[in-house]
Parts: sequence; C-alpha cells; structure tokens
Amino acid sequence: MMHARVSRSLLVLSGVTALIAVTPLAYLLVRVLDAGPVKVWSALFRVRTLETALTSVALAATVILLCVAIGVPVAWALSRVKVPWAGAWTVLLALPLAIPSYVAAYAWLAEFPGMSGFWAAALVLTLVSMPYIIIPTTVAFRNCDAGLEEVARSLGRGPWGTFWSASMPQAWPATAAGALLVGLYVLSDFGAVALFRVDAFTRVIYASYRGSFDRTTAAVLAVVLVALALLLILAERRVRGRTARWRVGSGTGRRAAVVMLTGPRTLAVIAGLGLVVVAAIVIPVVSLVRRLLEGSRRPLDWGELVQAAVNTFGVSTLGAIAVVLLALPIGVLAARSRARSIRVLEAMSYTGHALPGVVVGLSLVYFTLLVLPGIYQTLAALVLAYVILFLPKSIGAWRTSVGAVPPALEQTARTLGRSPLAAWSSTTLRLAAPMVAAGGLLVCLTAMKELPATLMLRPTGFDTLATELWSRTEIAAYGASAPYALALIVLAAVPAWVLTWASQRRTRPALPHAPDGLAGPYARFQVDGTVDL
Amino acid sequence: MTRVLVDALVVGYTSTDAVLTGLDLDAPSGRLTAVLGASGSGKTTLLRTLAGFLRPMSGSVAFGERIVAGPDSWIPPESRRVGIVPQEGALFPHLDVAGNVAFGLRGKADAAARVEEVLTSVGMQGFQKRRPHELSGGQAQRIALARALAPRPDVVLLDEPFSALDAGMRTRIAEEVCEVLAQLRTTAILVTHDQQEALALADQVAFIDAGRVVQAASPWELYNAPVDLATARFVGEVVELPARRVDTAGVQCALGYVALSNSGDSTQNGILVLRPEQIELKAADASSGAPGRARVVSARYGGHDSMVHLELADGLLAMVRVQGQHRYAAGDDVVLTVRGAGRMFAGE
Repeated sequence: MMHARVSRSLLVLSGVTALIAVTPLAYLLVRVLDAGPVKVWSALFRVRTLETALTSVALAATVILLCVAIGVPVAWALSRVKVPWAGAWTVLLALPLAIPSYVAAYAWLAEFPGMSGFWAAALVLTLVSMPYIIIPTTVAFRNCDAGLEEVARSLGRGPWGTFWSASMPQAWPATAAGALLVGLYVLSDFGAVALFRVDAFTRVIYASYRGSFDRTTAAVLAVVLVALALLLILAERRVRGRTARWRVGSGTGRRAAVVMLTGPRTLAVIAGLGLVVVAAIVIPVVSLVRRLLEGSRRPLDWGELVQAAVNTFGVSTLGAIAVVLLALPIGVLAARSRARSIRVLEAMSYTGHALPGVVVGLSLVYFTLLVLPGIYQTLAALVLAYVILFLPKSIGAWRTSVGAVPPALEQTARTLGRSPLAAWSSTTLRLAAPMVAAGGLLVCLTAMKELPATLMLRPTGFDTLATELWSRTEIAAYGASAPYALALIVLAAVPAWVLTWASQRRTRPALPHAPDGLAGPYARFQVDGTVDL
Repeated sequence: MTRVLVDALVVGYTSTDAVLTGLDLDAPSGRLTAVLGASGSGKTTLLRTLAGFLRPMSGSVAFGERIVAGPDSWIPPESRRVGIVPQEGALFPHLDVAGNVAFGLRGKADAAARVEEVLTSVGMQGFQKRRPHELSGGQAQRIALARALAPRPDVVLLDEPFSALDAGMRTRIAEEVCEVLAQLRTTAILVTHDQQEALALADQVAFIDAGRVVQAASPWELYNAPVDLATARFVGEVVELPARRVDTAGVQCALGYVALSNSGDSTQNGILVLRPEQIELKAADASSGAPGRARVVSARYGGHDSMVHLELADGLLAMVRVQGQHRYAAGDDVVLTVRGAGRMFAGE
C-alpha cells in the first residue's frame, strides 16, 4: 500500500493538474455568466448561431455516414476475405490517421483550387477520419466468435443473414464508438473547415476572435461546441462500455475463418480497396510532390524552414515533457485507487478531451490577457494549451501501465531492503516507463500537428511548420506551402515510427488481441485509451 | 428419426495432409454417440464437417435418406437441419434468452409458444427476458441446447459443451442435457476428450485417432474390450505387463497365469493389459508363493478409493485401485491376484 504522506502529496499535485485542466472551460463559463442572460440569449438565438450549429452537426453527420458506409465494407474485406498483400492494405488504410486535416485539405486544394464548401470539407474529413471506423471494426470482425456465426448458419440463416444477425451485432459497438470519435473529430476540426470556408463552429469562433473582440458571442459559441462534444464523448463511453458484455463465458472463442473468393470477386475487392487508398493517400501525396517539384515563384527560404522545424520540435517536446510530468500524480493515483476524490480529479483532468483546439486557444487568449498578462503571447501560454489538450493521453498511459504492475512487486522490493521511493522507481516506474514514454511521444506527435491553438497563442514572430503551412495556404501560395507540408510529415513521421516500432516490440504480452498488421495504429488506440484528435 | 452415416470421409485444409483420413461412423437414430479423441485427433473437424462448415475432399455424409455432403451433393449449413451446441454456449449477447431460442424459428406466429415449450424441456422456463451475461455457465449451456432444439433439428451436434463448466456442476448439467436429448429421441453427436464423460453419457462411443474411427462400441465394450493398446490407454488407466502365451486361452506373466478375453489373437509374446481394479491386494505372509509378490512404492489416497503404486519382483511397475477403507504405506509387502480376464496386444 502507498505511504499515507506520499499519497496525500500526490493528491495535492493531482489537484493542481485538475485545476489547470478545467481552467479554459471554467473561464469560458465565467465569461458567459458574466455577460448576463440578455446578451447570452441574443448571442445564442441569433440566426447565425443556429446556422452554425446546423452546419457543424450536418457536417459531422454526413462524415459519419460516409465513413461507416466506406469503413465497414473495407473492414470486412481486411478481416474476413483472403486478399493479396493484406498487411500492406492494413497499413495503407490506417495511414490517413497521420495526416492532419489541414494538410489533406491543402493537398486537395493545390490539385483542385476550385474546391470549397460543405461537400469539399465532407470529402476530405471523411478521407482522413475513416481509420477511426476501419481499425476498430477490423479488429472486431477479426475477434468475432466463430461459434455465433456457425450457430446462425445452422439455424437457417444464409451468408447475408448471418452477417446481419450474428457478425454485425458483434462488431457494432466498435463501429459505433468509432463513429462517435469521427463526430468528435469533425466538430473539433479547424483546418479543413477553414480552408474550404465552411461556417462551422470552429471557423466562426476563430473569425469572431480575429475580427472583433466580441467576447460574449465567441464564448457562447465555444460553450455550445463543447456541450456537443461532451454529448458525443458520453455516448462513446456508453457504447464502449457495452462491448464488455461481448465475451460471455470465460476463455476465448474460436476466430472466424477467412473467406476465399473466386478470381473476379477478389479483383473487385482489390479495386474497391484501391479506390479508397487512391483517394485517401495517393491523391494528396501526388499533389504534394507535384507542388514540390514545380516550386514557387519565390525561392524557398531555407533559414525560415529550418527555424520553423526547430520551433515545432522544440515547443512540442517541451509540451510533451510538461504533460507527462503533470499527468504523473493523477495517473499513478488512479491506477491504484478508485476513491471518489481521485475519480473526480481524474475526470476533471480529462476535460481537454472534449475541448477543440480553437476553444482552448480562445479561452487562453482571454484568460492570459486578463488574469496572467505576464504569459500572454509567450511560449508558456502555448505549452499550457498543449498540457490542457493532451493531458488525457498521458494520464491514460500512466494509469494503464502502472495499473498493470502488480503491487506485490513493489512490496517485495521493500522487503528486500529498498526505501519506498527506491522500491517504486526500481519496480513500478521501471516497468511502466516504456508505455509512459510512448504516451509522451504520442503527445509530442499530436502537438506538432496542432494548428488552431498554436495559431492563436504563439508568441509574435514565432512560427511552426503548421502555422507557416497555414498562412501560405490561406493566401493560395500552394507551391510555397509544399516544403512545409513535407517537413511536417517527415518530422511527425519520426515519433510515429518510433511508436510503431516500440509497440511492435511489446505488442505480444501487452495487447493479446492486436493482429500483426495492426500493431502500430492499433497500439495508438490502446496507449492513451482514447484516440489522438 | 435420423441415422447419421459417415462413409470414407476425407477432410483437410490442404490437399497434402488431411485431418480426417477416411473416417467411417454410424450413429444410430435417436441415440447419443460420443466421439472421443485427444486434441488434434480430428474430432472437431468431424463435427464441423457434419454441420457443413467444412467441405469434404471425398467421402460422404448422410442424415437418414438425405446425402448432405458427397461427391455430387452439397447441402449448406442453413438447410441441413442440424442444431449445434458450441463450447461455452456462444449465445448471441445482443439478444435475450427468448431471442436466442427463437433465432432459428421461421414462422413467428407460434414462436413464443415454442420458446416456452423448449425452455420448459430444459428446465429454464421463465428465463425469457434474461440476458446472456446474467446467466451462469450451466444455465447458458441449457439455453444453448434449447436454441439448438427449438427448430426440431434432425441431428444435434455438441462440441465439448461441458468442458468450460466447474467440476462441481459439470456432471449434473451433462446428465440433464443427455436426459433431455434421450426424452426427445434426438440423434446426437457429442465431441469430447474426456473419457469419463463419454463413457458415462453415451449410448455408443467412437474413439478416433489420427483422423479415423479406431473403435465404435458401447461404453462397456470400449472399456473392457478395447481393440488396441492406444484405445485401452485412452479410455482408462491400465496396468501393462509383458506376457507369454501358454495356451489358446491364457498367458503367463509376473502375476502368474491370466486368462485372455481376446484369445483369438495369435500374438505369442506381447503386452497384457489389465485395469487397475482387476487386481486384488493382500498383505503377504510366509505362505505366499513367488508369483504375485510385490512391494508398495507409494499410495495416492483419494477418499472413496486409492491408487497403490507397486514394484513387482523383477522391477516391473504396476498400479492397483483399492477401496478407501484399506490402508497401505510405502514398503508394505503384498500379494496380487488377478480377477477376470485381460487383453493381450502385440508390443509397440
């Protein structure tokens, strides 16, 4: 058991973390309440607000429908049909997860400069968020209990009937949870929506911050957006909770068999998968490479590019270190105790999960201006934003990894003569370290790609790859943007590669159900318990 | 009334090494046939082929008059009229008990009545609204049986349905399930690796090894008259002694003269197989002759009986089952006598 004094100081530190995490939302609520009911009422029920809400919800619904319609058949093909190069397809179809929406939007715009509006945004968002459906659904189909399908067949259902009555119900909770994450992604997305000029929440909030300093309207919109996001998160939790029921009885069921198709049908499956890969990967990559080769009117300023890369790497690393350290107390406590106070602090620390980057940016701009003018437009404010946004990933990593270490190890170390701290660090910390480090890398990776909060909070003159790409794309300087997009992908690929490599090394014991080809992206679903948005 | 007739069945996942290598089986109508074998012997493959999830490479399967799999015919699983009870029940977790049991009923009109009827026959009436995760292992198994029985299948296939249950209720559930099957006079095939379960429950036991049926017989015959050494060893514990034939009816071994029940076999020198409970133990005294003298090596006490491990005069080892009230300890000198006849097989 944990030393009482140690756990008390951890509890205090957890309180600090939780307070930081709820600051932006609390501040927004205070602003809204401060403005008084009349102003809030008029901001809430303006035609513009309703239009914005409708646009955001319609966009999320459209993207979810498209993702499910494409993702479920793709998942079926990956898991149940004998297709050639199965491993390659799995990796290619998970790859869009690594492409930030604004990079994909930029690539499509560079190729088809006329694209804009609702359907353009829906298309690009569908292509980048499909893996949220494909990955969990593939895993679910693969883990389907073959016994259920065989029972359905023997009770008179044909292949189609069996799919709908026995297979799909088994995969459905995974698909539904994925669909809700897609919804959350779309609601929070700023890059694609802004580049295609769709007046969804994020763009309108950013515009009202840029244009006027009409704080009430921006704050009201932000609160409504957070409420929608919270709704999706709660729904996702419920759906995910239901998956626990899916293992009735102990032990594992037999895996379902893979279907062999005849030649022409296999070709049709390959053509379908190929089409998805072309749209999601090939077109953006080709567009990027073409722009790169064409070059721009102005020659590339190498100094500027290197500076942006250094800035990106530096501030993301700083953010990741801060996140991992601040996540430690609450993650460690949550792993070992289910006390009510700890559950509350943990839930508070997860607030960032429901906050789109634009909302954190907006709130911290006002908060630093009014409360902490000392850090307004400093790196500290930016790191603070990363902490708030990405705490959940690292808390999840601490909690799962520390929870997986049996307390008996630590107790044994104590009986063998180690002091409490030495016992903890030589057993629990030592064993948890790889997963915690992976969580930190994931934060670093996600912070590198973060756009809206970085855009709003960076110090004047401080540019990252994401902001440089953004400002060039916004003025349609597509050729000049290309090196930044490429640098971003290369830089982000380093932690992604390390993560995949590390997760493959310890996939076997840690993730018993991760099928080989999925180890990388699947591990990312597991490491943080959520998905990186 | 459906007799299951399997003829020269060859089933494999690749053409070079088949799992079933020419298997014959005749499961009589309305009876429970147990298919007994070690893991890897092909028993689950046989079951999946009977259900229609695997296609034979050659040979045929007939349910009564219907050829369900053969050179020119193939009936898909959904049209075979088989009910399967998988390991662990495999109930549909998204449906309640009533939904599970009604899954195979096509005419919705009298479904509720039929569900009620089958649930009653498995002793689970009133459980309609329960969800699968609220059931114990034994209850889930009974619901799985009800689901299989609801459409009135010709054949019920049970795939180690009791192996996941606790030892305590395993026997009871198994007996109840077999009683239901017997009452309905359903042809049933039970796959198991547990020889006690097979012997206790089935009307006929087919021992399979390396993809063939080695012996299909009544439980009594399989235990007391196995056709070869492997079968003898698999269906129960054995005492194996080297033996030499002295006349047509018996052999000479370390325990003296023993009669044979398979005397038609012409083996001259081989292995005599006895069951541990066929040997009687007595404390040795001065008058005891040389044949049958032994010393206790160890005794494993099991309450109602104990297994005594012995070393015979010339270093041979044997084990004997004695009733629980007898007490033996290592080092005791004893004399063994054989009751009944043994079986002689050629050595390996």
